[in-house]
Amino acid sequence: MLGRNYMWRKSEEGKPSAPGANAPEPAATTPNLNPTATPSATPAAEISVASAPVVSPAAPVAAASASTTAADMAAALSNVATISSGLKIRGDISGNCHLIIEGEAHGKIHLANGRVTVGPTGRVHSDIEAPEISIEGTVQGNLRARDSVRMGPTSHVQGSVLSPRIRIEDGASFRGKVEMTRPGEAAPSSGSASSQTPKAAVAAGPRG
Amino acid sequence: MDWMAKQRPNSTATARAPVKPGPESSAASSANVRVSNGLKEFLWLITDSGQGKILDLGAVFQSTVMFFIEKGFRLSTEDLLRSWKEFLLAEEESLRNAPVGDGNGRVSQGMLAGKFLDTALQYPEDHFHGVLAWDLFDYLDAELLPRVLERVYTVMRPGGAVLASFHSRAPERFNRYKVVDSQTIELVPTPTLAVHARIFQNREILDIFGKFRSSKTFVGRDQVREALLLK
Repeated sequence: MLGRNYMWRKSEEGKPSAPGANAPEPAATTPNLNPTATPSATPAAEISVASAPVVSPAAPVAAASASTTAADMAAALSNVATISSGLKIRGDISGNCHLIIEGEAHGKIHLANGRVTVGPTGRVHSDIEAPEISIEGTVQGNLRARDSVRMGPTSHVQGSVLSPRIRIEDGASFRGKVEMTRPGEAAPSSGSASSQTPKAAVAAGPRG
Repeated sequence: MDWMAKQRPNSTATARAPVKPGPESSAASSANVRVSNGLKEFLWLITDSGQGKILDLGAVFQSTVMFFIEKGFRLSTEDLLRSWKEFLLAEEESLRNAPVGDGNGRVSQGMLAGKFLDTALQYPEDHFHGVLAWDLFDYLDAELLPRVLERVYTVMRPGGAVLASFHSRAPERFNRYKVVDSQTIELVPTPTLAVHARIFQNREILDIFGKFRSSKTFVGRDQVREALLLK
């Protein structure tokens, strides 16, 4: 029914200029990794290595226990665990140190403190939840960050992104939904609408 | 939402005044930016939707994401041309690795388009208030285009708007688009993802969007036409 264009005959002078158009973009800043933060409720990481043992982590992925002191926490955060290229891990990962993924991970990743970095060769097939998330490789899952999410120029992300700060560099490939939270705001728990990938959203809604 | 009933505030004249570039368009001096009156009108149309949902069918850019999020919209993005190219490459690889005489030798473009849309553009019906499609529809293959338009129509809410661009002559290079401000977009030259399929005449544009109830076209100095269509 094209051609009924009378709606367009409205005066332009009253057209509101969009507010906030010139608002500065929030910069992706290095998060303040608070060493005194309460340790994760998860007492230990659940890692099952499908093909080979983890050989290169500088510290175990499960670095903190419920009784961890602040000093222990600071020490844990100074450590970095690495899932090296060629390794494939099935199962959930949780902890309080930084995590670099150059291999393949199938399972939820939850770091109460620390940064998750998916390197150029890294592949993650599940959700990631951490204060800071940096992606250079491939992620099929939702990203929830308390501080920031960065998608580098070689990143491929399919899923939702929920974070107070989002940095997307030119060349990034992204398919999904972006929502911003207030800094420090806890991300909604799994299963919320905002955590749905486009595919999951289809399952939740009608489709013709 | 009834766009037809929407009144501009302080509107006294019924005649449509020409859209004048505002101060925000001062950045349009560079060769790689262009004033987009279509975007300005698109934003005006969807502003009432509050926390409206926008689907960007182009490449993801920081400035575009932040622009819409700061205005309170929820943005989904799906780079359809890139997905299509990756899908075709995967299909080609699959065919190459298939055993000889497997019966999968020839697949029609229509079958490919249908298979692609089994995984692409998967959103609930009547979901989005606005869809952005710069340099998309005139790059799609003849079998894929009507299917994509049908899907876009389905996922849009009644009263929702789609902003699309069409070249009046074959483009010299392949660009992606990022939103700079409410009426300025930046053209980002990138390696060609898809070949420009065809030039649509104005009448043909109206025909392919036949299910949409209203349309408006803006012609830029670069002869790129922006079409704004309402469901």
